[in-house]
Amino acid sequence: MDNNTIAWIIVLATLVVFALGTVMVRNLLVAAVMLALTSAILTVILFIMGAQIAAVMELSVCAGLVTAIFATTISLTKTSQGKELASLKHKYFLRVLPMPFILLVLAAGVFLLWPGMDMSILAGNYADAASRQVLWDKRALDMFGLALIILAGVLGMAVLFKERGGK
Amino acid sequence: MLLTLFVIAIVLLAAIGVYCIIATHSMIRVLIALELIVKAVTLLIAAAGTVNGQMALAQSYIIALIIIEVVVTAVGAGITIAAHAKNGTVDLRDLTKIKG
Repeated sequence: MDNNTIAWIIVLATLVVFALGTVMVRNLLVAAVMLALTSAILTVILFIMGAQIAAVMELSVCAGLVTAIFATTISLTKTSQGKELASLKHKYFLRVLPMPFILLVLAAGVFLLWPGMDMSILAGNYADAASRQVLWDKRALDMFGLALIILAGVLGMAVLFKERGGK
Repeated sequence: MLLTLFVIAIVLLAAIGVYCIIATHSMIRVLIALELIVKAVTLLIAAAGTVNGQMALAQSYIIALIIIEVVVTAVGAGITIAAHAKNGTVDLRDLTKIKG
């Protein structure tokens, strides 16, 4: 088993561990944060594979915006009150909290310090111009559909904040 | 070997998401599980793009998938908050008023 395979095993295992943690933790806010960390690891994977534009989208939208949506939803439905917030201060949480960061540092250390590591094994076919061409020329009609979907999302957010204002 | 690793990770991610949907009764956790399944699909598209040598096309699909994902999440969050305002709970077992 070569170094690349070991590195990919570590990264993919970290992704699965974070996903498992998202499901297993009781606190919804912690689950949302774990989901954001899963997105961050997926961003690293996409970046290594050569999908840089998609990686940036994944990081900004999935790890950022979606986490904010979940935090707002949890806050507005008050499921984070009382017992949930109290559990945030529990010693168990304080012990578990550094674990994702330790795993991230270990994963980064593998990439940066492992001698002879070739992380571009899957990234040989990336072309920024090709991505732009596909996105704006070949799939121009799809972009119109995506704009309509974003409009639907805006209406969804309007519902979200309408309920908040009604309270 | 690498492709096998990716397939294992994709299947595990999707299985974790499906398990969460089956096991939970919270609308918010269902949304989180949907996110996990979408992440599995994102990884699948990226792997497929790499295998076929069409990463540019795969990227455009991933971007479309991310946009749809965030819209579904936003609408789902809106529905969750509306359900909580109406019923005082986000437990799916208690949402009996929308039965046909």
